[in-house]
Formats: sequence, structure tokens, C-alpha cells
Amino acid sequence: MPGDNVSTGNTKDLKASVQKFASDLAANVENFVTDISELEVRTYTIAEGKFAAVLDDPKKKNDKVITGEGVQLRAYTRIAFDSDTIVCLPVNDSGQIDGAVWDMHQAAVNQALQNRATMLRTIGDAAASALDALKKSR
Amino acid sequence: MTLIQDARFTFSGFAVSEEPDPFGVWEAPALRATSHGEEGLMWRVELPDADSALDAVHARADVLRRGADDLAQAEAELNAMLAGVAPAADAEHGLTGAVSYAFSVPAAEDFHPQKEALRRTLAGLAAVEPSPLTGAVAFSAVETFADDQERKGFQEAYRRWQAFVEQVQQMTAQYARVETVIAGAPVGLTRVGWAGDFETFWIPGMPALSRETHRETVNLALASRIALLRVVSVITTGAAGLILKAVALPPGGQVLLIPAARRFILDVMAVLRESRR
Repeated sequence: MPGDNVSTGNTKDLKASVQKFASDLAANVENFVTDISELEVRTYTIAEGKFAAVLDDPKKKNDKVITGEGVQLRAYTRIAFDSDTIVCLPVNDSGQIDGAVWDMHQAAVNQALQNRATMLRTIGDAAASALDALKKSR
Repeated sequence: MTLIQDARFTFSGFAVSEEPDPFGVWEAPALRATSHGEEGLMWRVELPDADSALDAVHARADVLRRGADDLAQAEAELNAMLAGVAPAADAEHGLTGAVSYAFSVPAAEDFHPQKEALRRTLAGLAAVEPSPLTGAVAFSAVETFADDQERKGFQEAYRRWQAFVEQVQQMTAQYARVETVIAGAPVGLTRVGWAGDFETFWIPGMPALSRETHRETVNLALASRIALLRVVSVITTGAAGLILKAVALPPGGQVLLIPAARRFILDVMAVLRESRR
């Protein structure tokens, strides 16, 4: 157990841990602010029976390996912070827009936009409170 | 007949499983599902049938909303307690000569045991014998524990703090994977990045009600993630309040109060949740 050997003599460990926590949180908030400059929404279809597995490259956002039977990227939307938008529409075998997939994709885009707005507010609060606590602790 | 109670809402992926969900919405799975081979956080909902599926998800959303109310009450309790912290007339100078501050917790107070535990943890950081009459604890710069109970309180706060740090680190760095399964069949999978990118995998031909259930499952998982971040805000704000009051700690030592605030907030939330059962 991490705390078994804790005494006031090594509260320095805890202090270092708290400060690392705050600095890591600050770094993640910074990443959030950088990454949030654009929002990407992808909609795939997959064969019945089993979920897909996705392995991400932590260093390259768009490098990922997707495995799963019959996985197909069917629709894609990218929305930049200034609202510039790229949309790739899903079509069926006859070249017509696939309404069912498009509806699902549109719903996901709306959900993603709503989530991003809420996250912005929440992250702002978390960052402000962490900074406040750190400032007072120095 | 199937019951909403047959539904399973599980949350896995934290490197340490200590208190994965202080809101009581998600349970830890008996075995961590790793069949998909992904690392990271996974919210998974297994529902017995399509007819009751949406109601089951909405019922959990209500649990989360009540948990958010509990968090607000815990924050208010901490603030009310902080308002009572004042310079102690009989403890103006700690053993180091620094000015000390003190507070007491009358037995009639709501959440008396939790406030006592907070007092004990703080005492572990700055041990001065509590007054037998008032139970007041003065903060000062002494680096010894008054007794074993204080030492244990501090050790427990430290251990849980380490788990909390690990969980927040994961939550703010990894994809959230959300799965919905109805009657044993996969319905939808959505992965949401820290900055909000969405990837959704659908089984074609699913009924509209099943698709709606998955969307609501995703909403519930994302609301849960945001609620956990709100806990982080409340804890650090509460700790900042403690820091302002405990001015006699050694320079830089004030950060040690964050784990104490964390323990208090989650303990009060647990009591409120338990009281509804």
C-alpha cells in the first residue's frame, strides 16, 4: 500500500505528489485547449455480433488501428474552432445518401458539440480552482 | 418479466479501483472486460431487453443528478465548517511560535463523524493536543503525530489520495469507451476523446429505440466523466479554503490539505447516498 510507510517525516512525498498532480492536470488542460481547436466525428458501421477494437497511437491523434469484422467508415465531420466544417457524406450502393447512417451521424455530431461545450465550462472551473489552490499554497 | 434491476452498469479501466464512482451510478465489474484489447476507461451498459432499456438508463441518470446534489451539499458542509475556523484564543502560538488557528466540531453538527475525521487528518499534519473540552485542533508546524489514530487517519488519506491522483490522470488523458449491449447483443460503441472527438460504431439495422438507448448511455457516461471533474474542482476549492485558514503550516506545506479535503467531500457524499437506501 502506498501509504503504509507514511509519516510526517516524509510528508514531502505527499507534497511532491500533490504538486505533480497539479502540474499534470495543468498539462492535460493545455492539451485540451490545443486539441479542442477542432472537433472530429466519425461514424462507422460494423458487422453484427462483436464490437470493434481500436488501438490508438498516443503520439499521433489520427494514427489508430481498428479491428472488427466489416468495419467501414461511413461518415466524417470536422469542425474547426472558427466553424469551418468538412463533411463526408455516407452513400449506399446506388450512390444515394444513406439516410439511416446520416441521421445517426448527425445525432453524434450534435452530441459531440454539446459535450464539448460542457467540457469547456467544466475544465475552466477545474483549472481555475487548481490554480487558486496552488497560488494559495505557495 | 424483466426488471430494471437486471440491468448492469459497469465502469472499468482505472489502474487503481479505489472508489471508482463516488456518485454510485456505476459498479466495478467482477472481471475487467478486456476482450477488445484496448487500454483505457470503459463504461458498459448491459440491458435485459429493448423495451425497458431506455427507462433503465434514465433511472441511472436520475441517480447521477442526485449525486450531483450530494456533491453540492458536501461542498456547502465544508464551506460552513471553514466559516467556523478562527484564530484560537488559547492556541495563538503553536510549538514553533507560529500563529495557529483552531476549530471545533460540536457533536450536534451534521456529518459529525466526517468532520471529526477531517479534524483528525489535519491533526496528523500539524499535531497539537486537542482540547478535551472543545475538541479544537490547532494547526501548527509540528512534524509529529499526536497519537496512532491521527497517524492512521493521515496514512489512509494519503493512500486514497494516491489512488485519486492516478484516476484523474487517466480520466484526463485517455479515451472513454462506451458500450451498450441489449439482450446480449452489441448495439453501439462510442469512443470519446478527452477533447471531445467522437467515434461511433453502429450495428446496421438496429431499431430506433435501441439506437436512442445507446445515445443516452453515451450521455450518461459523459455526464459521469464531467461529474468526476466537478469533484476535482470542489476538492481543490475546498483545499484552498483550508489553506487560507491554516496559515501556520510550514511554507509549501499547505498543499497537504488537498487530500484532507478530498476525503471529507467523498465521505459526506457516501453518507448522503447511503441515507437514501
